[in-house]
Amino acid sequence: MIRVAAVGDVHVGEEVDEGLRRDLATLGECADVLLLAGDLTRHGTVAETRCLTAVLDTVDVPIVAVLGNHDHHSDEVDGVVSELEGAGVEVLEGTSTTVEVGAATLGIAGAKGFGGGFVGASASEFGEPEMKSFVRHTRDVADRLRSALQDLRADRRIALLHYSPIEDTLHGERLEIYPFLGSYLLAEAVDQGGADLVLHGHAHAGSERGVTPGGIRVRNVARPLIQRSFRLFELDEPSPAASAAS
Amino acid sequence: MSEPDRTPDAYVIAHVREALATDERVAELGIELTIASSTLVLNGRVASTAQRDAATAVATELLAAQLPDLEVRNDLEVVDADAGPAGPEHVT
Repeated sequence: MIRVAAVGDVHVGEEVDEGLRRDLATLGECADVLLLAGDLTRHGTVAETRCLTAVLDTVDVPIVAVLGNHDHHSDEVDGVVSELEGAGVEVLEGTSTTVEVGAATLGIAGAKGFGGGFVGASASEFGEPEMKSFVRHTRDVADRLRSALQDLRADRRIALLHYSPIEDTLHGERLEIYPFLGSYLLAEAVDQGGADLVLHGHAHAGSERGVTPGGIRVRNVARPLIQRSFRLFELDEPSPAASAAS
Repeated sequence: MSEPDRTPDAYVIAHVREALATDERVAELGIELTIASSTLVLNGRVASTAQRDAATAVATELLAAQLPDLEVRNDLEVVDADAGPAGPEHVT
């Protein structure tokens, strides 16, 4: 059994989050890895990131993260990533990593994602440069995510995002803002690249559960939505026969 | 419009929403705003009491310039993230 703890949108400011610290300190008892689905900070400053890494200090399992839009707000992304990596957090952006859990390998491909909307109500790469640039960013991120998943050799695979790949997990948010909350291009990338589970955040007022058009489970783990320090998932290790066949 | 000088409610909501997103004391994009009669109501969830209180301050400061007669009612819920972990979901 591979045990995964996940949370997004912890939005750490320049103060100690005691609730988060307390819950994460005992994480090793129930999880083999911690996944952070973006918006780790409130304004994306290095100072806030230090407050987060101080809290993560107590975590004794591997930590893998993607950034969110808030983590970009102060244009200190390089510093934020350095601080996280210095604390042992692996930060993914169109890249992947693996974590050994017993005899099994868990693969995680991650990307921030971006907006653009969903089938029938999505932005196109057409018109003004700003519009084309907006959609092209989503397409680039999705392409890198697809490649990362396709190249990922692991027994079980998780796609880690900040923005949502589907509408289901946005239900509860206002319909008008869906194009700012995610893009179907992300779901298409995951369905083509393959995964056992997709985790994302960003939509604080959304819903927890959904599925991609290709049938892959999607879970929104935004902390304001789950109202906990993290959600837990258990993935079966593949049977020896299945491993040999793959 | 009976009062041509009064900023239409829709623009007030837009301005407050932008202020709540960009003011670093709040930095929250998901706050729902409604103007009901002479009250601006803030709804949704924030992470801390400080953030909730700052939302009132930001909205009040902005309204003082645009619509001083509008009251602010802060119904924001502070998320209790201290519930501890729930049981795991099994992914087959």
